[in-house]
Amino acid sequence: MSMKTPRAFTRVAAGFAASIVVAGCSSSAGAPGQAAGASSGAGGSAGASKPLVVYTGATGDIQPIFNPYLPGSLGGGGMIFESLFFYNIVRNEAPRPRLGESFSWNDDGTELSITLRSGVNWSDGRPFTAKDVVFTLNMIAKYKALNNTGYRGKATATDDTHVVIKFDEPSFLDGPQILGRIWIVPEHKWKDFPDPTKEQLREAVGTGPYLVDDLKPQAFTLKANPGYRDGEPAVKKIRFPSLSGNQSGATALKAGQIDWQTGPVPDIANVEQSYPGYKLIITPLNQMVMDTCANADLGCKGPQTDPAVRQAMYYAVNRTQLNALAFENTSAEISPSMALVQRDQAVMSGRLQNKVAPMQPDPAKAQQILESAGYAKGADGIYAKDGKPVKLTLKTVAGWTDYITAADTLSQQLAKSGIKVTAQQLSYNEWAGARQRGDFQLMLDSLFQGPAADPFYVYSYFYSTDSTDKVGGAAGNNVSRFSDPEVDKALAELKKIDISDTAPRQPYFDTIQTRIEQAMPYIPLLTQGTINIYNAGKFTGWPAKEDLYAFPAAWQAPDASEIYLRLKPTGK
Amino acid sequence: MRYYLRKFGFYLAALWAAVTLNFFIPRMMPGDPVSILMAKLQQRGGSVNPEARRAYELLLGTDTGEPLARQYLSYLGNMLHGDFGISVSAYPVPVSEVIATSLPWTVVLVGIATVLSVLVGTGLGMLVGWRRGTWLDALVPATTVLAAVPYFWLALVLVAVLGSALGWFPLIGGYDVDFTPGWNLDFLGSAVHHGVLPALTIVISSVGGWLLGMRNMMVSTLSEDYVLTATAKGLPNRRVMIWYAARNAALPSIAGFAISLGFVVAGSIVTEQVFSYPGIGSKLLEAVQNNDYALMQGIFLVTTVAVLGANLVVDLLYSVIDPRTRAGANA
Amino acid sequence: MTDLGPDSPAPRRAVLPRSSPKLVTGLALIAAIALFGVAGPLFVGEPGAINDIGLAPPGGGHLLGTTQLGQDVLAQIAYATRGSLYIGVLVGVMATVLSALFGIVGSYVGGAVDEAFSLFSNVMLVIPGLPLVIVISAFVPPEQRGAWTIAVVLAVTGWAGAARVLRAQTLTLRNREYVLAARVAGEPAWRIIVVEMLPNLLPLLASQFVFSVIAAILSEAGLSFLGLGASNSSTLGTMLYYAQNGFALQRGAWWWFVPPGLIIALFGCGLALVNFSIDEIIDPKLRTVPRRIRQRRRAPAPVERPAPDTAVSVRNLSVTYGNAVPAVKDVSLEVRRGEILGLAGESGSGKTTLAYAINRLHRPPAQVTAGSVTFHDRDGGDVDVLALPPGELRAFRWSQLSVVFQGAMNSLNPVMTIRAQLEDVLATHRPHLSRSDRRARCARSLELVGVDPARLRSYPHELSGGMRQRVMIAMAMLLDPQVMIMDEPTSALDVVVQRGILREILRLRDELGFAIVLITHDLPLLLEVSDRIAVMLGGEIVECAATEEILAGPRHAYTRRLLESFPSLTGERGAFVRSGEATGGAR
Repeated sequence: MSMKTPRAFTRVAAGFAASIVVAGCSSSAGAPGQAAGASSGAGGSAGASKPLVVYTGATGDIQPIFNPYLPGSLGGGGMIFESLFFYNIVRNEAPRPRLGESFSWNDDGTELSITLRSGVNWSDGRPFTAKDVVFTLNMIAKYKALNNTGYRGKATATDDTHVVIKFDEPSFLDGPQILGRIWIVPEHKWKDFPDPTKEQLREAVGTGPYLVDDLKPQAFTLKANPGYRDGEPAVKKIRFPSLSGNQSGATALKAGQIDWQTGPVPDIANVEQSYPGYKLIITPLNQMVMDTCANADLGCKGPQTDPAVRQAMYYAVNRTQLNALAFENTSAEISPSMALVQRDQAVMSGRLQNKVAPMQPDPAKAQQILESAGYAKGADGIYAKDGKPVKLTLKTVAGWTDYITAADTLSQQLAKSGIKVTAQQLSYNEWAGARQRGDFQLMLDSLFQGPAADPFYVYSYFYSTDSTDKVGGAAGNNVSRFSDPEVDKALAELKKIDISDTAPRQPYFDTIQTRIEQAMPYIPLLTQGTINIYNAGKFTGWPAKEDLYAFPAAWQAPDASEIYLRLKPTGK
Repeated sequence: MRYYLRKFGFYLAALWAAVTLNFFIPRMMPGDPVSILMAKLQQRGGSVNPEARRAYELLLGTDTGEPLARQYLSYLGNMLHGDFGISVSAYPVPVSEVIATSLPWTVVLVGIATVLSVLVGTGLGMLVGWRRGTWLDALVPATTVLAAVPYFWLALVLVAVLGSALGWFPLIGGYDVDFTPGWNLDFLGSAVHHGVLPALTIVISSVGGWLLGMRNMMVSTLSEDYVLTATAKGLPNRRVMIWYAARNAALPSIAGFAISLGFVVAGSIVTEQVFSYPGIGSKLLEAVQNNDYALMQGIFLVTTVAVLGANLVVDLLYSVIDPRTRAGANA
Repeated sequence: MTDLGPDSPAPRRAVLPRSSPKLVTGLALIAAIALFGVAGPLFVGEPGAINDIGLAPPGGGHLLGTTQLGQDVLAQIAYATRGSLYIGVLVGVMATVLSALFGIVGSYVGGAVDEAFSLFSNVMLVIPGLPLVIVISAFVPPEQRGAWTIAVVLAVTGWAGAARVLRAQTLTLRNREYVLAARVAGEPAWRIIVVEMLPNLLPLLASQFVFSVIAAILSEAGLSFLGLGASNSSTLGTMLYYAQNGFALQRGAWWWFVPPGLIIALFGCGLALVNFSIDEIIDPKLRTVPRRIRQRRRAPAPVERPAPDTAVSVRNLSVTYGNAVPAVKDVSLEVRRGEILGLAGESGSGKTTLAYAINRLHRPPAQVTAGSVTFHDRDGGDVDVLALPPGELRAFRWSQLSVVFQGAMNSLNPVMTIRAQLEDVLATHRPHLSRSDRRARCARSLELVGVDPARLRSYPHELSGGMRQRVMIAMAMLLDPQVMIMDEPTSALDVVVQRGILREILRLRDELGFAIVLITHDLPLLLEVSDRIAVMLGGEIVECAATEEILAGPRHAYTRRLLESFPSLTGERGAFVRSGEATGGAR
C-alpha cells in the first residue's frame, strides 16, 4: 500500500507509527562514541553480532508500547506477536502458515475452521493453544476500540489445535483480515488486564521470532527469540532508530548507519554507485490518483462532477513526463480498472477500454470527449459549458514536494487541453480534514491495497456506498462520494464467493471494472513505487523483483517479519 | 511589599492568559486526531477499512460532547493537579511521561548552549566595548552576520562540513544507542560528543546578539563618571573593566538572558529537527502534526511555565545584582 | 555626566544617521538585494518552468544552475527574494505599528490603560512565540494562505519586545519639559504624541523596524524549514525547503542550497549595519570611535622644581581632540603645596580637559600634543606624569593626586557598597594592609568628612547627594594625596549643603595640608575660598594671580567681564564659607 511519496515522509512520517511501524535509533554500526561513517569500519570482527538497523520513518522519542492493537505499537505484527497466516499482497499466492497450519471455509462462507500448529510455546515457556486464539478473538470482539479488522464472528475451540469461527453472513473476504492481521496474544497474561485498550504492555510475551531487547527514546532493539519454533532467526538483533525524517535518514544512510530504509534517497538513479554494498528495490503498489468529489447527488460541486470532465483529464495527462519530473521514474503504469497491472492481470476484465492507462497524452480524445458532452472552448482557451468554465482546484499537502511538483506538472499539462487546474497547498491536517468532508474538487492522493492480493479490497474500500457519506459528513475511505448500485451489488455478491474460486467472481469484477472505468471517480495517474534501499553486503536474502516473497517496506507488517526471517548476515 | 505583590499578580495573570490560550488554540485547529491517524496509516500502508476507523475513534476519541465551559473548568482543574491527560500520538502513554523523557535533553543541550553563548557573547562584548578602536571592533559585524544567517541553514552546512566531510562529530541523535542512558561514563561521553555540534551551531548563531548588546552597553557605561573615578583611583584595568564597567553594563543582558532561557524549550524545535535530537521541540512539532491536543497543551504549559519561571527568578535575582531595585521594592 | 569633549551645548539629536563605511555598506547591500528582488523577476524566466536538465551546475544557460526539476535557480531566487522582502516589510510595518500602539500610546495615557497594555505585551512576550506561530498558521483558511498569513502571524507574535522598549523610552520622554509644557498648554494627546514625542522616538522605531524585518525573514525561513511556511508563495525559506527536500546538500548541489541562505544572510547583514548607525543616533556615545593613538614621545623631561613648595608644574601643555580642535593651548601652570588654586572659566573653556590631562585621564580622541606635567613629590623626587608607564601611572594616581569629579551622583558605582568602593582603593594601593585595618581606615575617613561609618554598608542610591559627595571626598583623602583636583565638587547640590561641604574641605586642607585644584564656573565661590585663581578662556590661561590681586585689579578684559557679571561681589569675602553665618554672602 501506499507510502505516499517518499519525500512526503519528511515531515509527515510522524509518531503515529501505527501497528505497522517500528522505530529505533541510529548510530548502530558506528563504534561507540565514534564519528559518523564508522560503520563500514565495523567489518571483520563480529559482523553477525552487529544489529540490523532499520529505519521505518519513525520520528520523535520512542515510547514503550508493545500492545499490538494500539496505533503506536512498536515492533509490528509478525515480530513479537504473530498472526495465523501470512498473506502476500504483492504476489498472487496461497497464504503461508504462521501459527496456523491450515484453514477451510464451509460452502456459504459462514464457518471458518482453522487447524493450529502444535508444539508452539510462548516466549515465557507456556504452551500456545487454541484457547489463546479464542481469547484473542473474543477480546477484540468485546473491545470495539481494538477491533481494527472488523471481526464479527463467534469463535470456539474444539480442542487444543482447532478453532471454529462462525459468522452471521458470508464472510469469505474477511478471511485475510482475520487470518493475516489479527495478532494472537497469550490468554494467561492478558486475561488480567482490566482494560486492554489502556494497556501499554511494556513487557511483551509472544510467539514471534523476536523479543524486546532494550528500549531507549532514540531507538529500540529486538533480539532473536532462541525458542522460536522454526529455530532462532539468523539475524540476532534488529534495531529501529527514530530520526527526524527522511533528511536525517539520508544522512544516516550516507554514514552507513542504516541497513534498510524505505523511503526516498538522494539521486535514486545512482544509488548503487553512491552507496557501495547497497541495493535498491522499487515495488509499485500505491495507485496514485486524483480524487475527485464526483457525486453531485451527495453534495459535490464543480466541473469534476461531470464524468466527461474526469475522462478528459484522464486522457490529457502525460504520464511519462509526470513520472520523470515528479517521481524520478520510480512509478509504473496504472490500470483504469484499479486492478494492479502485474499482480491482478488474471482478473482484469476483457471489456475494459484500456487495460492500462495511456502513458502518452491524447489531447484529441480529451477534446472529443468534452465537445461531445457539450463543452466549448472560451476566449481564454478554457472549455466551458452553460457559462461555467472548467476551472478546478487541486489540493496537495504542503511539504510533499514530489506531489507538489506533480500538481504543478499536471496543471501545465491539463492547461494544454483547455482545463484549468490551480494547485493549492494545505497543511496535512487540513488536507486530511478536507478529504474526509468532501471539501475539495481535486486532490492528489493514493489508493491502498487490502490484506490480500486481491482487487476486491480496493473496490470495497473506495467505491462502495457503505464507506461514503454526503459532503460535510465524515466519509470512510470513499472520499469521492462515488455511489453506484451496480457496483454495490457486485461487491455484495463477491463477499459470498471464496477468493480461490476465480471463475464465478469474474463477472462481478467485469461489472465493477467497467463501471469505474466509465465513471472514474478517482482519475488514475500512476502506480507509485515504494523505494527500498538495503545493505546487500551485510545481509543476504532480501526480496527481489523475481522473488517478491513479501512486500518490501520496513514499515509494513507482517511483511517485514517475513523478510527478517529470511535474512542472513554475511559476516562482513 | 507592593512591588512583590504586583510582580506576583503579573505572573498570575500571565499564567492564566497562557493556560487559557493553551486551552482554546488547539481546539481551533483544523482536523481531528483520528482522521490524521487514518490518513497516516494509509500512507504507511495500513489497511484502513471502515472498521479500523471506528475502532480508533473509540480508542482515541476526544469528543466528549461536554459543553466547552465545562471542558475548560475540568481542564483548569486537571492542570492544577499536573494531570495533562493521555497523549494521543503515543496512546496510552500519559503526557507527563512523554514530556519527562524529552525535556531533560532539551534543557541540557539548549540550556548549556544558551548559557555558553551568553557568557561568550557578553564576555566578548565586554572586551570589544572596553578596547574600542582596536581590531576587536571587527567582531561586531562578523558575529552579526552569523546571527543573520538562517539557523537551520548554518546548521546544515556545518553538519555537511564538520560531520559528513571531516567526520569529527556524529551527525544525528543525542547519544550512541549502544550505551544505556544513565550516569555512566560511556553514555555521558557519547551524549557530550553528540551535543557538541548542535550546541556549537546555537552558540554561533546567537552569540552576535549578546555581543552587540553588551558592547553597546559597555560603551555607554564607560562614559559614566564612576568608571572615570575608578580609573582615577588607579585601579587595575581588569578591575575597572569588570567591576565598574561590565558589572553595570551587564544588567540588561541579564534580563534578556532570563527571557532567552525561557525560550530554550520553544527555540529548540529547529535544532532538534536538524540533528534528530531527542527533545521537547520535536515532540511539539509532532503533537501539532498529529493534532495531539493533550501533548500540545502539556508542552505549551511547560514552556510557558519555564518562561515565567525564568523571569520570576531574574526578577528576584535582579534585586540582588542591582541594589537599586531593592529601593523600589521598599517604596 | 562629565562631558569630556569641548564643552558645548548638548547637541540636538540628529534624525539622519551620519554617513560611515558601515552605513554605506549596509545601504548598498540592502539596495542591491531589494533591487534584485523588485526588478530581478522582470529579467529572468518563469521560475516554475520545468525542463530536463535537472541539477545542472552553474554555467551556460543557467547562471546559477538548475534545481532537481531543471528550474532555473536564478529565476527562483529572484522571485523568492521578492517574496521574502515582501514578508519582511509587511511584518516590519505591522509589528512596528503594533508596538508603537501598545508601547507609546499606553505609556503616554498612563493609568489603567498603561497597566493593561503593559500586562498584555508582557504576556505576549512570555508566551512562547514559535508554538503559537505553528498553531495559528495551521488554522488560517487555505484560500488566504500565503505570504500575508505568515506575515500577520509573525507580526502578532513578534511585536511585544519592541513595545516594552518603546514604553520605557516614552515614559522618560513623557516627563521632559517640552512635553509637559505642551500638556499644560492643552494640546490634544494625539498631537503631543505625534508632534512632540514621535520625532524623538523615531530612531528607536526605525531600529525596531529594521530588527523586525530581519527577524521576520529569518523566522519565515525557519518555519518553512519545519514545513509550516508560506506554502503557496515563493520565498527564500520555501526555496531552501525544496532544496533541502531535494537532497541538494547531499547531492553536492550547493548552487541550489547556498545562494538563498546567502541572500538572507547578506540582507540581514545589511540591515544590521544600518541598525548600527541608527543605534548611534539613539545613543550618541556609540558614535565617536576613538582611534587608539600612539603616544608621541615628547622630548621635555621632568621640569625642575621651580620653587621648593611647588607640587605640580604644567608646562606648555596642549591638548587636542582628534586632529582639529585644540581644547587646551600651550598652558603653563603651577600648583603649590597646600594651596587652593581656583580654575575659573565658562563651559567649554577647557578647564576640565586641562585638569584631566594633568592626571592623564583624558580619553581618546583627546590627546596631549605638546608640553609636560611634572609632579614634585614632597619627598624630593620629580615625576614626569606624561611619561609614566601604565603600572607606575596607576600607582601614582590617587596616592599622590586624587580627583573629586563633577556630579557626585554618578561618581559612585551604583552596584557596589560604599565600603567596597573605599576598600578597593586601599586593596590596590596598600595591599599589605590587613582586612581589619582597611575597614578601620575606611570608617575613619568617613568620620573625617562627617558621615556615619554605618553608611559603609549602604549603596550609593541610599545616600543623599551631599552625603555622596562627602563620601567621594573621603575617598579622595584615603591615601593622603598631596594634590586633589576637585571638578565642580558642589555644583549639583543645594546652597546649604554646598557650603557645608566646602567648609569641610577647607578644614581638611588645613589639617592635612594637601593642595587643591578647584575647578568651577562659580567665580564668587572661588573668590571666597581660593588662594590663587587661574582664568581660562578658549583653552588658554588668560590670567593667573592671587585672589586678592584678581579682586583688586583684574588684568585681562575677560576676567573683568566675569567679575562684572556678578554684581554682589562686594560682600565680606569668605564670610559665609568660613564662618558659616547664613548672611547673604555671595549670590
